[in-house]
Amino acid sequence: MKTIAVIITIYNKADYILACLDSVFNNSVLPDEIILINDGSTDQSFELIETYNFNTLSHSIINKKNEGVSISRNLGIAIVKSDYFLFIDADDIIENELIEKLHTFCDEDEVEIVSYNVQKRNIELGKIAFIDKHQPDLNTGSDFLQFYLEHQVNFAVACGYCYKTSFFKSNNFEFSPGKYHEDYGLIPLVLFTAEKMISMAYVGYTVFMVPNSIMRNNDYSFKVKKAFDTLNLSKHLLLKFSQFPNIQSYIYQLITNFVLNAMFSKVTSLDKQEQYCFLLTIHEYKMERFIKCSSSKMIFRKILLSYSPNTYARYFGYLNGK
Amino acid sequence: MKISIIIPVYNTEKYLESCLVSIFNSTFLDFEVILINDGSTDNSGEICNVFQRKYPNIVTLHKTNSGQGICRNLGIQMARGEYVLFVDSDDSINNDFLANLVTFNEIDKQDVIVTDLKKVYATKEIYFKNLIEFSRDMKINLMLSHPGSVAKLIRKEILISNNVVFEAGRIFEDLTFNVRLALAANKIMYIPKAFYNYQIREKSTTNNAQLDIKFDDIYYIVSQIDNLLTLNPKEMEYLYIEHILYSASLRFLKYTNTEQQVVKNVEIIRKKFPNWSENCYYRRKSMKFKLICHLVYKMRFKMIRFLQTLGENS
Repeated sequence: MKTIAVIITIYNKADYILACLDSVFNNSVLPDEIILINDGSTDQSFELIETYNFNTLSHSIINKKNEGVSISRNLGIAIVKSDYFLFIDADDIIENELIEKLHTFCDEDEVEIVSYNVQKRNIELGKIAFIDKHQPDLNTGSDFLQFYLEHQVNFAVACGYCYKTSFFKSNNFEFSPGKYHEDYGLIPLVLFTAEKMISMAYVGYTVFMVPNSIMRNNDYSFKVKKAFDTLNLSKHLLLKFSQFPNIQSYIYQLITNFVLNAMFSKVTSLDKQEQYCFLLTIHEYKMERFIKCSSSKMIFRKILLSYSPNTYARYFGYLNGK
Repeated sequence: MKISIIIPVYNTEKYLESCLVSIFNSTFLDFEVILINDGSTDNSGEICNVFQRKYPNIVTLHKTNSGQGICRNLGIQMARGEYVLFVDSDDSINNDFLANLVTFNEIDKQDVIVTDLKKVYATKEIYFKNLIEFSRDMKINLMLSHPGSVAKLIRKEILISNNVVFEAGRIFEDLTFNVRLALAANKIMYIPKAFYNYQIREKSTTNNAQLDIKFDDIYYIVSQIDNLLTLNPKEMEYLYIEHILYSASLRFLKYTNTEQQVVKNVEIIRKKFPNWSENCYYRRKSMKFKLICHLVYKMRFKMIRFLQTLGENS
């Protein structure tokens, strides 16, 4: 039997953390290790996890000042002892059979990543959205990545996978400290590196869309920070992917397109000054040649963007969509 | 961040606060403290939390009990500083310790900086040399000297890249760590000055009687040294003399009915190193050390016990 650990990162989630922990303990098979990282919560979160009854389960609780979820997760990975681990955010829950089902995959082969499906529940609107990542025929990470990119699956969610610890550590994977969208900057790389990957059709993880979550804040400076984190992570991703010795140009093209989409989705919320930095980066990395054009207008824009981002910014103000 | 101070905590509620206060009184401030509460059953965990709220550069880890070696390994994994420093939760440091380490390190970046320590007993204080000059090679000096991991500033990278770890769950974990460290380090510096107050208490883990485990531990650790030091037979021989013939035997003889174990120790030496008394490092040791080694080798246990009682009374 391989051992499985869960890593839970917590920042001011006193209202949700008990439900999250209960969902772990309600599993038909318990994990072998549970690691909780309290990222400097100012509410009751730490007291709640400290007094929680873990029974005999091996658990570690890290308590530190607030530094962001990336550093918390990296610390969790640094101390994990089990063969496999998965991440849970403190306001989400896992389903009751997830650990049991993971065991059936982890115990047999030396798989490096097991993917499971994720559902997003919006309590206020009563809506559920599914991220279906299951593909029975594929078995390498790069195939999965290619499929996800081709079909625009929202795959870059760190919580949607169970990782082999030795694989993660020997490749020195780290979430970028102090950045938002840390999943976006790392998960494509992790998937691409994995030689053995399996997906299951089981919906194992539930994200609750909560109004006051940090990602849905509408402050402008916050938007700028998010946009520029995306920009930096995009650069980093492209650099990393270009360093793989025999990467197919097709995958590199898909990645560039993926990165470009992520950047476009951020840039529209910015003012002109900040948009210009984005344009320059796109120009610098010659990404415009990967823009898919559907109309003659778009072709014109693409050409303009590749020759003079300065003029482009002056005439179009912002980039809208692909 | 410059220094990560790693402190394993296990049931030291009486001393933990003064330890942490001594660290936060330091004149040098660019450090983090990693407190690893190894399932304490007393108030230690709460003290960790109180300090964590007060000082943002503390990271605490509360975990189920697994022993000091594992805690230190976890500390190394969690450390984000360029250097790591191990401190025991019942000891204390002088406020200029970190500043001195950093200034000495500035001139020429070292892998390991060793400083002396002050052994504090209930009634007296003894200056303790943490590094003994056996030869001109600092690597050998570090390898053969006192194997404690405290009062040594260590570059984190050499620990990670050479996989220098503590043996999990073994009492003599310091010894193999020290040998691995000496093999991995290239630049070693020694500051013959004591900044670290090493408290000797009756109920410290290594003084406490859990003898049945310790017998096996010492043989396990010694077998590890065999693997590590195949290229250094002279050093291996000295470590056998120091730890099997001298330290372990003396420790065993403090208890009754342990003669058989000591005979076992002597047999190991007799088989493996028949010419042990010609070892070049052994020859530099004091007369007292040599006398006891010979008495053990000749199995004069009554004589040694008599000398031990004499030593305790004086």
